[in-house]
Amino acid sequence: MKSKVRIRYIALIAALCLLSVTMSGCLNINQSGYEFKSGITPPAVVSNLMQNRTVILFITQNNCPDCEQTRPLIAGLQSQYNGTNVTFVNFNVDDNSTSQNVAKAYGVTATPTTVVLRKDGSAAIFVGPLDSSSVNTVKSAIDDARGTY
Amino acid sequence: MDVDEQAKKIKDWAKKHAERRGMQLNPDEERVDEVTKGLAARQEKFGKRYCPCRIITGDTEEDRKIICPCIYHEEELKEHGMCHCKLFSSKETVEGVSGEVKG
Repeated sequence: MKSKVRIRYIALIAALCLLSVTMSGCLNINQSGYEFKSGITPPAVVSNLMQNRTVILFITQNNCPDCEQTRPLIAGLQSQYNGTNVTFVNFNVDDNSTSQNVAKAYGVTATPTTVVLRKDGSAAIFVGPLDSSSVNTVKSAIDDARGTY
Repeated sequence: MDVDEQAKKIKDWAKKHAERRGMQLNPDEERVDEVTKGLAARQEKFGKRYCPCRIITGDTEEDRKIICPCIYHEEELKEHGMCHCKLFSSKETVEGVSGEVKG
C-alpha cells in the first residue's frame, strides 16, 4: 500500500516537473506571439544585408496563392519603414539556388514565410499567409529587432 | 494538355478524393481554382502534383510527402479545418462557413 502511495507521489512530482519544463518553454514566447530563435547561421547573402540593418526575408514561390495574398501586406509594411534601417528582401525559391539556400537555412518548408532578423542573427519566423492582425505581430517583431541595432 | 485543362482534371480528382475521405473542397471556388492551377503548373514543370504552398527539396523521398494529397492534409484538417494550401476542408468547417452565411 505504502509503495503505491510512493509511486503516485513520484508520478505527481514527475508531472509537475514536466509541466514546469513546458511552461518555461512557453515563457520564451513573448506576449506578442512571436519568438526569436537563435542558433541559425545566416547564409552569406543574408549576413551581407545585415550590416547595421534590420532584415526581413519574404520567402515565396511561383503558383502559391497565399504568397500573392500576402505580398501587398508586406509592401504595406515596407512603405511604413521607408527611409529607416529596415531592408525587405523577397527570395523566390523558384528563381535560383540562392533563394533555396536561404529557405533551407531557416528551415522553411512552406510558403509564404516571413523571417524577421535581429542583429545577433536570431530569427522570428512567421509561416503562412499574413492578415490584418498577424501583420501587426510581424511589425512588433520588426520593432523589437530594430531595438537590437 | 494545357495547364487549364490539367487544372480542371485535378479539380475533378480533388472533388472525388474529398468525397471518398469524408472531407470537402474549400467552398471558396476562386481559391480552389488558384490551387488547382498551381498544382497543374507544378505537374507540368516537375511531372508531379506537388503542393503549390510547399517547397520542393530535390530529395525524391522527401518530396513524395508533398504530392497532393500531401501526407499532412488529414492532420491539418483535424487541427485547422483546412489543409495548408486551403484546397481541402473538413465538413465541419464547410458547415460552419455555410452557417455563417445563412446567419
